[in-house]
Amino acid sequence: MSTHALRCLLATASLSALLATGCGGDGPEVVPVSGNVTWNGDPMPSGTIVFRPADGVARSEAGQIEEGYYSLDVPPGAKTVEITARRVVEGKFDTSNPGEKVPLTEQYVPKEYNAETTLEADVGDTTSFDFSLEGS
Amino acid sequence: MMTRSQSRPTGFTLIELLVVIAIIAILIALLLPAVQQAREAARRSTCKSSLKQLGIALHNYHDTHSVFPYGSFDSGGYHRRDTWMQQTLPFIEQGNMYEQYADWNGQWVMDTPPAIKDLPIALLQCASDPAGPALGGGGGTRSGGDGFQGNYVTCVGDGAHSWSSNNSGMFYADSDTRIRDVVDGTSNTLMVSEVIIRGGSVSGPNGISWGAGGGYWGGGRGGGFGFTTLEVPNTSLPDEIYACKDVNFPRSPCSPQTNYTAPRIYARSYHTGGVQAVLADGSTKFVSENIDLVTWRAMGTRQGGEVVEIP
Repeated sequence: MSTHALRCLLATASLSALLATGCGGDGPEVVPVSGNVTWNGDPMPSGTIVFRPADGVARSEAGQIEEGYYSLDVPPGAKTVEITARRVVEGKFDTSNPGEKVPLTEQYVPKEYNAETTLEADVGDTTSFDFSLEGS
Repeated sequence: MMTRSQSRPTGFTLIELLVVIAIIAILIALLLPAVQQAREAARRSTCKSSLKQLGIALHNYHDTHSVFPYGSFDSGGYHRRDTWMQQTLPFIEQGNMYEQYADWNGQWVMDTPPAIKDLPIALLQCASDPAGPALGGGGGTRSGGDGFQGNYVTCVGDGAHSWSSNNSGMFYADSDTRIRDVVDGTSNTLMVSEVIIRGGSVSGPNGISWGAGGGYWGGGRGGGFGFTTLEVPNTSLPDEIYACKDVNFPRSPCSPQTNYTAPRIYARSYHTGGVQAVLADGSTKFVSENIDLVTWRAMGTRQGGEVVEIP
């Protein structure tokens, strides 16, 4: 093989090495987290679960609860967890919009699971968290 | 007799040919994604130009009226739920539309004649959002029309929007912000940013929408005129509005509340990695979705007194 071809090969190899390295990923590292949420023993039909950093103000991540199951990506660390869900209030209607009457809904999960949450999760090696909520 | 080894062969060896082909392949691999990104970059710069014009329009409004337009307004018998958008129309070359709208004496903005409210306004649409020109956000078909829905909304502050109390941003219910009220500094305070329209049609899988971001024709009561900096741009937390077109819309989840108590609409866009925004000094800026939340919230307030270093 001539030295010319060898040099060409070398250049190609280094170029592809550069390409393979790329520009690196952007954004913080995240861990896929999932688990089950029960409401009085039964899977929670629907709702929202939020993982907030336990210390200080920083980005939070939210996911949907569907038939008692949720999954989302969360940066690792100690988190507080908030769960909210809404249901229709039987026989009550909202009439804020002129000429329209829609069934009223309420957020029914007690505040110790959201606004003043006691739920915690240490995201890292553990990536599965189940929550059993009780209330009326 | 001449041997082959003494003469330099003409033409290419197989190795040289392969190397050339490999280099060409690498160049193509490099360029193709760049071309795709160039398309998005072009759309992004169109959006940025629209935002810039919107910023200038709001400043021209301020020059004319000595005050910025209110975020939204909801009382009395004339044009209830009117937003900053209708008030800014004369300053974005839509003077005729504004005249027709002002001449119409209806009580509710969502009942504006469709000839006015369904008219798409190019300046209020971001090309990166495939939904445009979109309709909806203001309660579906009323008085024969659905209402245009745009991408640009004004900043209500760093909390959920409230009708009864003072909000921390520049635009909210009955707001009358002047430049002198922006104590944090006009280059540290957000004025306008973007939202994602959840599909171009009036209704989605979950029905019609009330108060969705950019729902200028009737969504004002639900905070549809504005956004909050409570969470970072492109957050995975759902918007909380009266009624959603789609609760699971990609990049823009939504949680229906059936009340107007504390609507939350977050800044969102299809641009890679963040949203664009206009600051109160009229400058436009790309804000990363990985921005420090403390900084982002500080940018949302007009007189929070925070020291911010905008990245």
